[in-house]
Amino acid sequence: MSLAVLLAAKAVVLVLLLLNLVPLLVWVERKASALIQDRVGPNRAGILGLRFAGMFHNLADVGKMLTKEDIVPAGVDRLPFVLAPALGLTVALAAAAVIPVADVWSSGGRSVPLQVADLDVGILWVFAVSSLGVYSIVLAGWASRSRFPLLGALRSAAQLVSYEVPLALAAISVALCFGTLRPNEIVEAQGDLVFGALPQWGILLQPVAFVIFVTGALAETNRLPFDLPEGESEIVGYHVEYSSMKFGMFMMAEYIHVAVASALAATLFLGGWQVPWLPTEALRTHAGPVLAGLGAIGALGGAAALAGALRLPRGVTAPRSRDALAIGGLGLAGVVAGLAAAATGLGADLGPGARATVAAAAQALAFGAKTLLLCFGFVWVRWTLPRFRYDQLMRLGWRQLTPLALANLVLTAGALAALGELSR
Amino acid sequence: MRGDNPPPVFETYFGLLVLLTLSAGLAAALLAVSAVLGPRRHESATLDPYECGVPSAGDLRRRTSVRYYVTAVLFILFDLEVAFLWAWAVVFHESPLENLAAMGVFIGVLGVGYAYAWAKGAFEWD
Repeated sequence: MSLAVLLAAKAVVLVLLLLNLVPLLVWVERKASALIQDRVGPNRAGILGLRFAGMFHNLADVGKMLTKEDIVPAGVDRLPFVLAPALGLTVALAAAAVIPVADVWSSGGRSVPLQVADLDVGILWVFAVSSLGVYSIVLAGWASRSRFPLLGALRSAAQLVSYEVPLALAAISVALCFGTLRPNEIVEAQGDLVFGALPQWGILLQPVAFVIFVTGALAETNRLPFDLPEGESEIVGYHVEYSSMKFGMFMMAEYIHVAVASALAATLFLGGWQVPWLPTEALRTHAGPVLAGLGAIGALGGAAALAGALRLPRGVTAPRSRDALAIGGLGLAGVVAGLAAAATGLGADLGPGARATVAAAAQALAFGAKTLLLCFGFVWVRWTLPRFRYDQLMRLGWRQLTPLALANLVLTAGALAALGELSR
Repeated sequence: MRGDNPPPVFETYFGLLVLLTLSAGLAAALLAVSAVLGPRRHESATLDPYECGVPSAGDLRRRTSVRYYVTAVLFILFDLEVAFLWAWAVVFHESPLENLAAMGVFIGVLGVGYAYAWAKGAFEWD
């Protein structure tokens, strides 16, 4: 029974994590685009005078989308029309099930894998489920019974289908190097050192595959420079007939896809939950200093927030005084909590359970940092590169990426076979 | 790890079941909430399909030429190939040379087909 509760709890936590990543990514997108285009970005919406640098705009958006008229145009196929956004969101959330945020937590004979499902075909699950997203797009375009969405859906079906092949081939190259599709084993293998110095991350073994994978992931998530399915600014996309939260669900699905693609890329190519040079055993043995280090990172973050708050205009009547107070207070709390954690780490003697937890926390932090870095990469690319023309897009996919990925795979297999013979 | 006892089914798949149920439930809840909270004030034009303001002409449910059907066929070929490659990647290290030769023949045949499709102009878009 407790096992069922634990498994259900992991699923709930994963869904909550992904749902909270959506507003965070939207906020990062808006602020980063503002930064890149030399403007301020959203900063108006607030609660009780608190604005948190535009963070509350996401809440306002959700409220607005939920209370807008839910238009179902005349003549649409009702069931598929309603089903399409629901399917897109479901599939996007489910794809993340197999991605581990840290090594298996184990203490006193109990071991808990830190992902929803530890499948031996884990990587395949992500591909299988996330590529079902194309059904939601095609259903949406077809059910809308309108010309523009239909054309948009056809465009995007061709695009998603074309980039799926190089994406999968790039992932297979990595799986080939490590000889497994279980995400935990792939990440574990990336902790080994090559030349006795560098961690054997996928990006080091398969740099070409990494480039192909990231390009394919941009296309699969409909992000610029490959956002032809959507084409919000000039060509009309598949979801033009959708309003209110149905439209919002397509957007949520897109951002969750970005998060999942980043997490998968981090797992395959950036060592997943591996903290560079510190395998799980080392993290557990030296749990005290590790906790102290985590505390120090927290304290530094808090200090940065505090310093930022001190630069805001002060005084009771200053426009953002409450922001300054709240951010400063949070920063101060962060500093105190960080220092307390550091002191605990240096002073107290930790039990095996606590050691495993500290190690898992450090690994989850490393994994989160890698994933968010890749997410930021997605945002950065979107506001830097112009969009491809349709024929350029298909040409890049079929004439360049596919043969390149295939050649990379064959070369990898050849090199691995040669290495295997040499070491025999 | 490989070749051990089969993994416990419940432990492996129950989480997936919960996650799928939860995601689908969330999607349904969002749809329901938005349908309940949204106002209903149509004008006659609200329910028309979007066509940049031009009055819609002709039946909207007619046959559409999917120009890229060759792409779809090629995708199926390549994706089947990929399906074999997933399994191949896992067992590759058991006997690398044999596996390399076997998949080399397979990819070679596919490569000939790919070159033929290229020469026939399957990758031209106008």
